[in-house]
Amino acid sequence: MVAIEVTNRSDGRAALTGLPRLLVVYTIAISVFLIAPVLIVMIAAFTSGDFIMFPPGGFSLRWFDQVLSDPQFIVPLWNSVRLGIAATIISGLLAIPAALSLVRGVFPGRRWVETFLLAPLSLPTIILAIGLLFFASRIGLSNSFISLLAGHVIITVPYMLRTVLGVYAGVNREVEEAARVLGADRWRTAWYVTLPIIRPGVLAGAIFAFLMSFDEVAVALLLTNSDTTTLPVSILSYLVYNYDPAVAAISTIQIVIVIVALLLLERLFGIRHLMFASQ
Amino acid sequence: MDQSSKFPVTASRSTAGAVVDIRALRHNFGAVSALRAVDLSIQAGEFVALLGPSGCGKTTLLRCIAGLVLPTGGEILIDGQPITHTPVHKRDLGMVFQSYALFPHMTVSDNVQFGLKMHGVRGGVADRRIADALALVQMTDYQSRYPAQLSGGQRQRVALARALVTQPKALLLDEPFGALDAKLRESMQIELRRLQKRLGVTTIFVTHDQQEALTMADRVAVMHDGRVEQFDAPAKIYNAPSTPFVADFIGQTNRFGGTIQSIANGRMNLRFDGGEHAVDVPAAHGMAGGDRVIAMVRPECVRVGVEATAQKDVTLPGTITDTVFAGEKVSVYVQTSIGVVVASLLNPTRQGSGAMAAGTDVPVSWRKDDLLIFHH
Repeated sequence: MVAIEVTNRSDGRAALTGLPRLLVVYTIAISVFLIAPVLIVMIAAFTSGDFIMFPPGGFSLRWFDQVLSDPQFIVPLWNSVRLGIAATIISGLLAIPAALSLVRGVFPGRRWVETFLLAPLSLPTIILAIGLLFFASRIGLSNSFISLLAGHVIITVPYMLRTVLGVYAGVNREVEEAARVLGADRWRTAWYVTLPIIRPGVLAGAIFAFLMSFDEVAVALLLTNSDTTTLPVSILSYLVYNYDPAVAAISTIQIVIVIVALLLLERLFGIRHLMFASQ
Repeated sequence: MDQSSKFPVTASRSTAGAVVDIRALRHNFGAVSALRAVDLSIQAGEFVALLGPSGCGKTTLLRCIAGLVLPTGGEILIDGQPITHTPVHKRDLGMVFQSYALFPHMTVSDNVQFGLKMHGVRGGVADRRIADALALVQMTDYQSRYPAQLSGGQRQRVALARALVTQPKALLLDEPFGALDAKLRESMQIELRRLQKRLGVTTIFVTHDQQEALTMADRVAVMHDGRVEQFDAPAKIYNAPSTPFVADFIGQTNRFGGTIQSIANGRMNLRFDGGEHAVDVPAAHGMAGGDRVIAMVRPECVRVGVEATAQKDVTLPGTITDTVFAGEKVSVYVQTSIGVVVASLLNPTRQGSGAMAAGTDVPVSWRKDDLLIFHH
């Protein structure tokens, strides 16, 4: 985006002094810096050799074959997907009603509730993880899926809340009032009017929440056992003893899952969002 | 343009609207009183404008009627039924908001359908009523568009169709044309008035635009500081304002201080401050000798120059300080012994512009009957 803008400006012959050119170079450099490591891992995954190397030594899918048949990766992958979806749904169920009442409600301590719900954003997750570990073992839930899920819900709620708050705060309250005058009680107003209008915020929040959970290490490291271990944790522990392209392959699969999920959401909901976003 | 004959279903609902009664309605926002014991009796099918400056309580009153604001005290009755504590969605009212408040994620026809759906009207009946409502506001061709694809005037029409399709007991409008430009506003005003007459729906219209209120409404409730100052036909509001606020707020007025010198035989003698000029006028109710009063006269009732000498009721010598050209009329500011008098003259250029030049000494005059006198 920036690069295009800059070239446009230099097309205008205003200043071909080299500064825009420098900006283009800078932009490309930053992009490469950000994307290259990911691309290299993805490309390295297709090697036919026994070690991670770049450029890869020959092309093969053997490492994909291996990880997809290895329960050491497949079980955590499934765990991560399950955990990510569950955490997203639960944080949605918590954050959406919270956002609705935080924006429209007038009650004492409103700001405090909002700050409290957003607080995990500024809390190091390792601290949260340690706290949860003690708490979970005290109440006899240590290393259960439930305590892991609770940890991820705490982490994902702020992301959901933030985006929904952002969208909902911009919604004209008269639209909801119009629905009520037209005969809709509060529930039907929420269902037919409010939720469809804030859907872009909910979806963006859901994407954030899922990605945060899917990628989370600290809480998962402390709160999982061999049955509930997540993909990032299993990749981490595999890396301790191995340096073969299996890690690159499973990472590639992880990236592809995220990209497919994003594209799917964009395809399903993005177009209609754009359609009335201009209002 | 009158298409009423084409829409039998719509036409058949021109049953008279509901009677709306507001009794001693009060509302406080914290320590601030937005409404102080408001009483209004609105007849079936009547078009009433709530007019006043911002903060006078007109919107709060409308929102109380809609049920969006719960009043602190008093009662609201629709057709004799108290609805003060009826939830919004059970009041069977139609409302048009200043922001249009269309549902952005629904097409025009889905917007109009919403109220019917909530009232359990479905199928062919619903389809017919949606079609009628859209035809009524001439939006049939736009039914599959989204609100974002419509102009301001079109959105307002859809909002109107959406509010009318449920055949509400009363139609409430909150500054519905505030966001439209002057030309469009005027045509929407005419259209709304025509529609309202045809449907006979009781209509309560909030506006801060006196022109809008005076031209559209059967009766205007002028509000000020949480009270209804006067509730009357537009001509009465203008010609016989019952309080100095109404006289001041509606149209332009010249305002003078004065003292009642004496009252006798149903006449009272009023002396203007700053001059020896006194006038005999019919005694007003509750006035006594020595009372301080405010006397007002409309600029269009003031005569200047040659025309002034023909009228003898109140005549003052003066000097023109300013003339302001405003198209079809000109305002002439004349300094007199009792203060500056503004006269609004129609087409005065015909009389020769030299006659109205600043610095010219001219007499000004007005008729006694045109004086509005209020207690100070």
